Amino acid sequence: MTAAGSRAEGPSALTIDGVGKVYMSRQGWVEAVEACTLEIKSGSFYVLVGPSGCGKTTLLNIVAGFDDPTSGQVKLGDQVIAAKGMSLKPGPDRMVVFQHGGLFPWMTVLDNVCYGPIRQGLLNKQAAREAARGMLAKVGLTGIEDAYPGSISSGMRRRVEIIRALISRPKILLMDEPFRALDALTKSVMHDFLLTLYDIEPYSVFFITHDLLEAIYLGDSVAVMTTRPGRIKHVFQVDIPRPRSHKVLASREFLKLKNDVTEAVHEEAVKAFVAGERELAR
Amino acid sequence: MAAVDHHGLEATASAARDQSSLWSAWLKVALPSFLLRCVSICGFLLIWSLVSMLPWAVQLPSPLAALRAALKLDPALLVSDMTLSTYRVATGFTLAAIVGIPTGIVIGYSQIMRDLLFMPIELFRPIPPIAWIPLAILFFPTVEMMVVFLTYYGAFFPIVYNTVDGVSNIRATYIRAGKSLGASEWTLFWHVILPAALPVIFTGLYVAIGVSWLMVVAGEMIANKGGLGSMTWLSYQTGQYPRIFVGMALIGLLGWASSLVVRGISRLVMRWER
Repeated sequence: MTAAGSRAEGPSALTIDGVGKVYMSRQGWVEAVEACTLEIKSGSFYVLVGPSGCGKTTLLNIVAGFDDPTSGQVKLGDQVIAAKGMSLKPGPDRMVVFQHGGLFPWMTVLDNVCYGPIRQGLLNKQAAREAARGMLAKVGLTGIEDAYPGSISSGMRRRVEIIRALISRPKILLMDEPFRALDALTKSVMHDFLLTLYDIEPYSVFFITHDLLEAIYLGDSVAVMTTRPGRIKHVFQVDIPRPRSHKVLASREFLKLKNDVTEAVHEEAVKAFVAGERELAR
Repeated sequence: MAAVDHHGLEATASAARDQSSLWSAWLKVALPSFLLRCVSICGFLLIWSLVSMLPWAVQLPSPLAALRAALKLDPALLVSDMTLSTYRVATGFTLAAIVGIPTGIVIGYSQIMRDLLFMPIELFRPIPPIAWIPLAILFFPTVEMMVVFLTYYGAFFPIVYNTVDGVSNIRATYIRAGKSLGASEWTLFWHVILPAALPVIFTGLYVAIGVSWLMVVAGEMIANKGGLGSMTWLSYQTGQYPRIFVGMALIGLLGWASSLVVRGISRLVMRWER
């Protein structure tokens, strides 16, 4: 695939440069992330995997502007968006799809989707509603526009939330284990939904998960993070051509990658487990 | 045509089946439950009758005597007492909501306001509202103001506390999502923080309406200037004991109805909560 080839050399969407995060807890100073460096090329799908509690979410929160780094800096394109001492400023250039769902339950599906464009002053109310309707229809989500999120299925909620994020045309889409709470079947539907959207228009994605199959199936690059303090241990390139379907799950290339990534993550998971035991014994 | 007929027949048959299964479900589940409830009420009335026959309970009327007394009362007088009490509760409760909700929001939202305002509220909270009655009588020039103040005061605390709780415990995700989507501080408040806190605020209102009734009855019993509380107390003082039950029952009825009103308003405001 030429697209994937050009993506590897293209301009970078997000650069994380030596970012570290130390915070104070009841047990004293905790180093959550340590000198983390990674680069996400524009239009590429970057997945970060690692054992639970390794600082993945902390890193994503720093990129999103919810938390500040204690060292290093984050650049969106050429612009520094986070560094030590900088004030926090989350914004529509980095939309987040949240782990436990971030749709507003008090707004209808349509109001949720057009909230961003209206607040950012991109579109007036009428135009935003039109755009939201169009976007929902394009991905087959019709008939639920006037429903409240509480009355649609969890899979639908996730899809609506992804659309709500994309309609603001972010420079990068940040996804924090977005499919964690879903059952296996819904999850595979969500993967194909995400891949279809991505094939229509490759946006830049920073995706966090601890599901390795999901990581390889979706990503162009899969970075493995070490146990706390989190650093990038290794970045695997996934050269499986797009568009991908479930058939690739059984391909030799996929299985080999799965093996390699599993080994890298397992090592860290064991370390995390031993460290946890030690912490408990203390 | 034959196929259509066949389908039609099948539809009728399944409708009939639905109908009959609905009936049998009603017979199996709803009817026994209804009968048991009737038995439980009869049991209660029976115990009441038995207790009223105890040798030292001569003053306690039987359920039948209470009912007879109720039928003999002048409905116009009852209605005027009910209206007066309801009006007092409505005034006190509404005032408490108007003052309490903004106060709670401000305290829950801003650390500075919390430091500034929360201490006096914390200081007064452990004092039961009824303990305010003597001071309220001394302070307020009219009985009306005194009773409304007590009603207001009782409702104020549950409203403030729940509002503070609701506003300060909003899921961080909603605030983060709002900021990411481009909401300014002010719109974030109206579009995210307030609606997210509403369920807890309504819990406060629901508790508060009950406390309002408690306070209005206490105030009216002391003031003796109309209302159901005063009617109940006067019935005791004048020895018309069966009327006490009428007063109690009406207070209960109105208390129940007013919490239904609050629940109805909450359903109307929070249409997404189902």
